Amino acid sequence: MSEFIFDLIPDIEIYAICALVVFMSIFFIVIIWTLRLDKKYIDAMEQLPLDSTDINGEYQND
Amino acid sequence: MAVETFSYDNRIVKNFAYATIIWGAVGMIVGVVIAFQMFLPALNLGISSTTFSRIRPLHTNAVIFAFVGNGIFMGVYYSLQRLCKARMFNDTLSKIHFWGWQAIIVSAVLTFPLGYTVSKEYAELEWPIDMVIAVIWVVFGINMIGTIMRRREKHMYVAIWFYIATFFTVTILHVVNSIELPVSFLKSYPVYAGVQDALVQWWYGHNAVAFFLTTPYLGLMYYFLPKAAQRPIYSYRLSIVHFWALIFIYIWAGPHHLLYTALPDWAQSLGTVFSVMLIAPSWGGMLNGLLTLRGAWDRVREDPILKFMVVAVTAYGMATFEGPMLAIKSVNALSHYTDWTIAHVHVGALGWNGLLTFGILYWLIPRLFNTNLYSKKLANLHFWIATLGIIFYAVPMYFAGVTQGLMWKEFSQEGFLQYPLFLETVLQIIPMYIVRALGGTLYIVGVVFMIYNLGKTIKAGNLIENEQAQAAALITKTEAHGEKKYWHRWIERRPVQFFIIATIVVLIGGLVEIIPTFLIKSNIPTITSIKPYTPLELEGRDIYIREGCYVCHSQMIRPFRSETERYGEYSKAGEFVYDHPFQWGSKRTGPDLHREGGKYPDAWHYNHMMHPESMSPGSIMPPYPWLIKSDLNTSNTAKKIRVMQKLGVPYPFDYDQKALIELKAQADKISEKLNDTGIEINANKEIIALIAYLQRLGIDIKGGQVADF
Repeated sequence: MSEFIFDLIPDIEIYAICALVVFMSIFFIVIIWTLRLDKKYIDAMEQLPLDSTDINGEYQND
Repeated sequence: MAVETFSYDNRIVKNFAYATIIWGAVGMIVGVVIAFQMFLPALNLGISSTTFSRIRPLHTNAVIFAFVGNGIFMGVYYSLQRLCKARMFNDTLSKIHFWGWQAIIVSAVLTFPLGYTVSKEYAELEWPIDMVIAVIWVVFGINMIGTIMRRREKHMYVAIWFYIATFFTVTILHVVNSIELPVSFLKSYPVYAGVQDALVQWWYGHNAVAFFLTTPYLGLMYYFLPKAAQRPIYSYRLSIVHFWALIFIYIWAGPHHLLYTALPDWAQSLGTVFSVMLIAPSWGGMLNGLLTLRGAWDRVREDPILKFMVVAVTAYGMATFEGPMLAIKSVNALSHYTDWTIAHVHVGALGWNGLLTFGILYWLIPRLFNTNLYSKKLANLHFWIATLGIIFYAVPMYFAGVTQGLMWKEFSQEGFLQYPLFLETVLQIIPMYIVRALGGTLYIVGVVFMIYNLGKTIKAGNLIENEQAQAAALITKTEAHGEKKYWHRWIERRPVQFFIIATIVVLIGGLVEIIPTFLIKSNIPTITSIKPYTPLELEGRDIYIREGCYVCHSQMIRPFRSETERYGEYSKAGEFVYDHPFQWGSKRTGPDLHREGGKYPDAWHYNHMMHPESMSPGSIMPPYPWLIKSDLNTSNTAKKIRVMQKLGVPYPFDYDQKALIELKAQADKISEKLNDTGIEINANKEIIALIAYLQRLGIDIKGGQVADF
């Protein structure tokens, strides 16, 4: 259907392996960084949806 | 610090809420109708527009894009404004988004029953509507990103990351999968063919599940569950880790829809491995939701909203465990094409999407209208009926799927198929179809209770169209010298960088899987005997697509002895190189048709299309009598040949000039043969084209002749 830029890519599996290695590396880095996050900051972020900005106050729950 | 007063736009939230409810009811009613048609095919009333195969896409599109879609926008427009502490970027864009989306849904309601379809699941809409979808989606994106850019809250809460990932990924999925060459205003052919079309379609199809049914709803869960429970999410750290893992891994899972097909093995294996890996980030989301309620489970007993949300998250966990299990090749060998897949889909759709939507509606509507919910009792009743409905839906479908899968595979002691007649396996599961229809009916009865309850609530209240709010203006400051800076805090304050990184993460999986499939010739070995469809067969194929035959019939014989014994030689990748679009199908309510060519004489096909039960007693296939009444429209035949040539199908030069002559010659032959058997039919009727196509299926590699009768 379209012009092929490359006719053949040898050892195509290496690209999938590289992508997996990239993912696992970033995954572990994210875990380590996340575990080192400041607790006060985490607490503040968790409260964000519960912050009320409306002037008239939160609605009462049922 | 200056405090600014502004207002939230509740009118647009209300509009999307109403649309969610209305389209939810419509989509589910169509679902119940087609569920009943599975054992009462006469319910289509002999009308072409109401056959199962034409309106099943109406059901899927209505519940995914109309019900869940409007639900997403309802929740995003409400939560985003409050998380950003800013009104939506532009009210006019909000209105264009809302009315544009409803117009798209109406276009589906009009075009699908009339047979205008591309036949790619969850992407059936024809090219002009695809373009409108792209425009409206961009409008939504501008409105959402604009709101984020003018926010007063520095950090982007986790829900917003999910919304961002959804927006960018759905854009990529829709654009790539919808690349089509038009033949006419409402007819086009995808640029992809065969194996490549299958891979692109299911990369899209599974990621429609991932990034339309999952990620935005996870975002909604991260906002509305804490709001309803009045407590913060269990672990913000977990939300960071599972978000990035989820959006990376999900993209790779598409090939699990194509296991044991003609898709290259390496792509299938990638799909399986990443699908199993997907359990971890998916359950990260589930656990985060459920553990939010630790120590507060007594409130679930009292509060119907929390009941809906908890069961929704639990259903999400169930579906995201079952999905990876179904993606394991040995399990998939049994489950593929059976009702087990349908059961799995509906645990997710009815449980996760449906129940969470209902929970959000029950929470949101009273607040929009500044009143209390009309009846907690009725909401509780809805919850129990909906849950029962899901059980009555899913359990018989599990039974049906396993029964059918095992029956297909069973051999007698002598080494022959125990159930050589496909119809036997269908008749065996009819009772389960009846119970499933009851389950769907229960579910929609619950929705009726909800509509009544919310209607009374709305009547008792007053919409606060513009909800006043206050927040400090956002001040950009540089970090103090020595202050620690964590990379994720940095990226949460910079939405543009966030968009770019999220898009790259999402693109990796697609590029690794899709590009090699296109570039490597060895992925699709050439079969020299495969020839393009004749003009008459091409027209017949388009009728097959129009009528939605792929909804019940597959065209992909897997390399199992149970399949080759039943259907013939297993399907090779090279046989589909001219199939724009591919027609592999994903469900066998009827038998596989890939080697149908030459199995039965033309008269058999004629009689079968007119009265399926005359050829297959007990068949649940509806009749298609309009095919003998309607003249074949050949006004676009030459154009179709030219478009196919542009797509690389090797028709001879100038073949479009003689297409109609060849079409007529082939049609005359078929018509004469039918006349010889006592069937009086003109050569210009649609049934002739369909017979030509069916008789062509799979014969290129077996060199079969059409059976004489």
